[in-house]
Amino acid sequence: MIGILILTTLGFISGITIMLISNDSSNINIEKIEKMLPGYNCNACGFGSCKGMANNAIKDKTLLKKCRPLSKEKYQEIIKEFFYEK
Amino acid sequence: MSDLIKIIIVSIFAQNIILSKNLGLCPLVGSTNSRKNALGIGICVLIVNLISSILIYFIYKYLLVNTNTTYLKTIITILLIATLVQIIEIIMKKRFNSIYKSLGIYLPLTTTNCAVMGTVLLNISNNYNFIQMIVFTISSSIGFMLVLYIFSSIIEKVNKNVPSCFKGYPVAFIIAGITSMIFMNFSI
Repeated sequence: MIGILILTTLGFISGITIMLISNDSSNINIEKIEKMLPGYNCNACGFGSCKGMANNAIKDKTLLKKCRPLSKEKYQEIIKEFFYEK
Repeated sequence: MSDLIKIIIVSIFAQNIILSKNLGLCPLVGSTNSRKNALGIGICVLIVNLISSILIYFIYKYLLVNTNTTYLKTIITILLIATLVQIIEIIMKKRFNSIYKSLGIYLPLTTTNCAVMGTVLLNISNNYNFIQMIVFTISSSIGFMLVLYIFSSIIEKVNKNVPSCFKGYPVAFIIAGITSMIFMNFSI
């Protein structure tokens, strides 16, 4: 009985720790992606500015397709640089 | 003090964690590509080993022994090592993206690395106190890194001169056997 309690508690603590760390929003990749976007701040994507697009593209990389001035080569470059997972 | 020096020398040379105890062979064979990867894997193993050894030491000494549940040590070791590797992977993905990509699959593979789990459980079964535990952990990780570096340097040169049916993994295992015979001389 006590063994079950110990294991469950430690499992909870580990899970909550992982959740807190992954929600940490300070991400150096956002600035790097923002530098690779065209930088016109035209709002064609609907996010207001290139910084808004970078903030949302971290979570969902398919949103990058909404950027109209972004050429296909640059899109592939961004995908390869930041979202490449083996 | 002299027993600390004895622990250092024994765990790096005489009872090396890869070549004598045969734990952690997957990164050994997987580091045949480059030397920088070998150092990267070694540093990951060092960090995970150190933090999880300290945590398991306190949990074992103050929680498991007092409640008579020492049978839980294996599964709690696995749980803590897996959590730590996840945390390190998340932090590295956010801050050090280039190192994260160059390590590739070998960073999550330290979860199932027998060298990490073996060191943690050996600390418990050898009944070390706190300072001895830290010295043992650091020196067996250094021994791990040393063997990985030596091995990848040898393989880099040897891989050019062998017949094509031996290239890659076959010659890696042969060289591992020969290297462990070399290190056996330290234990006599």
